[in-house]
Amino acid sequence: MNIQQYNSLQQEVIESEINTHLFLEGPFKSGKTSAATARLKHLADQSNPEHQILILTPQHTLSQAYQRCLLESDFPSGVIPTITTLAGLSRQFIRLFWSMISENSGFQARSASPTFLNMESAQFFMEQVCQPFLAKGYFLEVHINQARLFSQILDTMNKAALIGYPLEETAPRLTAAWNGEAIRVKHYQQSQECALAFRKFCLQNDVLDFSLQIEIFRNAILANSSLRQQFFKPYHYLIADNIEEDVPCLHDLLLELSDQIPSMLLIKDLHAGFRSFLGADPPSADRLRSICSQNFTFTEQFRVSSPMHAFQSAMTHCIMRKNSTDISPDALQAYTLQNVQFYPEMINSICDMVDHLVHEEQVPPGEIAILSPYLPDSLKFSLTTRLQSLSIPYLSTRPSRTLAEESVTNAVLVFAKHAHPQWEIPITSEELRSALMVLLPGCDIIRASLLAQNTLKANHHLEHFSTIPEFTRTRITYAMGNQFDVILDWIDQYQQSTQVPLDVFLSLLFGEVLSQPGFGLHNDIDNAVLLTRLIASIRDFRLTFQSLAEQQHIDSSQLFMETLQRGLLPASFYRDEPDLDTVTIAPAFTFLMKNKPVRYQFWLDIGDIGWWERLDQPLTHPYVLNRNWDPSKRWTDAQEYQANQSSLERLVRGLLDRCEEHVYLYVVRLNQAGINQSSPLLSGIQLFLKRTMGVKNHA
Amino acid sequence: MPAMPDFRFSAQSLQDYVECQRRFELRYIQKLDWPAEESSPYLEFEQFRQKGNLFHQCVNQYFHHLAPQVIEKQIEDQEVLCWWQNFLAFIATQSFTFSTAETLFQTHIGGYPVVAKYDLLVLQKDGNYTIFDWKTTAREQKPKRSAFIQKMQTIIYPYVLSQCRFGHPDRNDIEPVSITLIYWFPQFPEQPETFPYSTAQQVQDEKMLADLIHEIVIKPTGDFALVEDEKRCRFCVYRSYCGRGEKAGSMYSADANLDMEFSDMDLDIENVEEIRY
Ligand code: SF4
Repeated sequence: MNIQQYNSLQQEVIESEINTHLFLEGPFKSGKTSAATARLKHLADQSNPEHQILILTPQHTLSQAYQRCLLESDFPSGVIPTITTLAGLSRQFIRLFWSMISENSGFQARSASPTFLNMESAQFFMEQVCQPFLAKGYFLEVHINQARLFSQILDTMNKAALIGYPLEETAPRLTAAWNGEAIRVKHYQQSQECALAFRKFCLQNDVLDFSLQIEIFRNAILANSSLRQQFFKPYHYLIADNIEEDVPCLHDLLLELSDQIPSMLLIKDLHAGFRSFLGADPPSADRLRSICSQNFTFTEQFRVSSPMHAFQSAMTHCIMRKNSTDISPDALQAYTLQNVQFYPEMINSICDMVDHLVHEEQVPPGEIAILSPYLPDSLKFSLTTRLQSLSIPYLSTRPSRTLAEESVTNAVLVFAKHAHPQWEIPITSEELRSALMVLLPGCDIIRASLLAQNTLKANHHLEHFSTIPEFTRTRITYAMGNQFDVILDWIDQYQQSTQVPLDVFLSLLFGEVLSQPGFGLHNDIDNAVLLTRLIASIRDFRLTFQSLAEQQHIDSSQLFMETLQRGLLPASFYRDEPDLDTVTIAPAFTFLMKNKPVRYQFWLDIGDIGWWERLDQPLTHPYVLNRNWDPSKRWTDAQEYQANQSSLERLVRGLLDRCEEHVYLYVVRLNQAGINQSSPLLSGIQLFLKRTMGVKNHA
Repeated sequence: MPAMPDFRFSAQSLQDYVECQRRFELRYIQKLDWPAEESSPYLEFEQFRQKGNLFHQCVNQYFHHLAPQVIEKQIEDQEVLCWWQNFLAFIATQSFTFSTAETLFQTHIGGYPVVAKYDLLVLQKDGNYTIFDWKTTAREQKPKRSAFIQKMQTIIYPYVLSQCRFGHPDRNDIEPVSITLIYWFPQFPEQPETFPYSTAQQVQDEKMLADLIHEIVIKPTGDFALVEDEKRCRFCVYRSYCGRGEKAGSMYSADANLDMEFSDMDLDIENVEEIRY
């Protein structure tokens, strides 16, 4: 490690006494994480199996600098530091001590190991639990779809766990702060009833949603010092980065560990706290100063262009309506403001500019980000189609299609239905036709229709091609028809043997037939990826829902199929996107959490109120379900306004911190609904323009 | 091999390479997901892996000082219970001053990271280290010693440990002669396979590993050859992709050499679980 490459303050952090707690704060790009990774190597030199290193970040994307550091060839040999999150730690803890804690925590099923629910499976169970309540007319006046309704109930549960109050206090807290129509209070009560019923269900069935996972971890770790000591015994060194994006429960844990772990480096980003709607609590993070013997503040920002810095400073002043008389003329170089009439004009203009940057100015696509508050499918579709036509690689961080919508999913499930007539799930002629077009090479719509019409019989049964009249067979072609029969023959054989769960069935059908030469999935890498996800998702479902399916006397495969048809599953989750050289298309918040600056940003439709206003959440509240909230107060419109203003200011600051050269701002006169619009972000830019009217040289 | 800055070599990946270069290319370079079955009978294979994982979990809990009676409560399967009791009897005969279970270690060879995950590493009073690896098998007989001699795991595990300094940057590496690798079989508790290490072995292994890694990193994409012996393909998910057959081989057959204690090294390392809501 060449210590000379660091400034004196960084060197001080790197070389500070090992067995001490350090608090380090500073703005983005002030070299905090560089100093931390250099100190990490220094700690790794001292570490051994009894003195290991623990690195905590609020989410995976924020740990990448550390992941990269471990791979560097000068990283000392030895135990690999553990890099994890609160969620990761709590799962590891519960898995390890399950046999001890399950009884004390009220679990009743006595399973050998815990089952953790992801967002989708939690929603599935929540739906099951809520059905009787919905039948009684609960939430009748709440006009949001069921998926959002359930996710908000789960959100209240998560907040209770992350902040640390009993679940029963949720409705009283929300009610005490509510200032509007009385009906809302009834919904808070109903939401709490559902949450408590859901909790009971989880305890009865040994399943843990995120809130229960955190609550058990928190209670066990905070209340039982011997368990805490046992679990954290291997760790002598701890680095926690972006603590302002983490939750009070994590901060409580660090406070508790301060005596047990001799060496801590706690890092806080100034002006951040972007994850506040997920419970991030910068004031709570500030409590950690008290356990640190040394505080460092980095102020100098590296590789920040002075025009961008000037623009950022002026814009944040304008948004907050603070005086800023001396705006530097540099600020005018940092942005381009584009006024367009309609959305398609904006899409074209952005894509043309991206094309110019990539193909004429030779800007790597990875240095460009296209950002908006949300990313509706229609917008994403228009952008990606246009970029594709310009041969510009892109990566959209929001998957737009669920696995259920993929044609290959439909194709294999058609044959799964045929193979399992006892499910009594119908096959339609359209789905069979689409399936044939995917699975039989060269099968066009006419042949597929003919084959489908002639082989689909009553009771979801498929007849062999060989049973079709000769004349039709010739029109379909024998080559195609015989392949169809190979699939049916294989299924006939399968039906004569012991049946297997749906995931295994699909895996066999794929491996033994559909991916063999002569079939549509032979060497089809893209569809293989989708099928891998589908099969993994079904397998997870089977392992999670086995006992529920047994209780209801249906097999888990059938339960999966029914759930899929109701549109609740499966998770179309994508593992981390690789760091490719592609244009990023993402919601602004997602981009911030990647923590990776780019040279050029495009902000879509800055008149959209979504840049400022938080999502309508009738059953939960990020500022009231928060440790900093005074329970004797009511949440007022003025507070809502102030909260939105501060959040916009943070967002703008955060985005411009991560923009190295130029930002293109788009104003669309008429939004997608044809309405003239305005937003505080647009007002902010208008004030900025007014204030800079006298400043010359703006291109 | 194209530059892959986030790639780590491991016993598993190098074993894949020596068994079939093409499998290495498909699995680690192309990261090709191919959802075919690895072995039959499918559910028994899954259950066997689950048993292996449960056994590992119990042993891990033991080394986190959970009482054996508490651990035992979670074991319903008679076979795993028998393994567990064998383990308790075996571990009672061992003495050591320090232990760490399920821990990942890393070193670099020729500038490339190489990782090893030890089921158990213990330090004895005399300063010697023993690496234990628990091996379960679906077959009636214990695998022969010869099956382990050339295994990448047998080469990499002691080598990685020999490169560690454990908090003494100025001190020499751990003496190779102080390291022993033991494969211990819960189904055959009296028949462990022991591999002592030595300086000569370390020198030889280092050269072999450096050469092998060099060979891989300079190999152009497309030059990763398919294995000649097609028997291996019966236990490989890429069978249909390579045009090497339809049906998976039986996990009970003599040529099955399956990893029963499945662990995704990347997931172990990037142990960062996300919560979306
Ligand atoms: S199927 Fe055979 S040739 Fe293909 S990757 Fe697997 S082992 Fe290698």
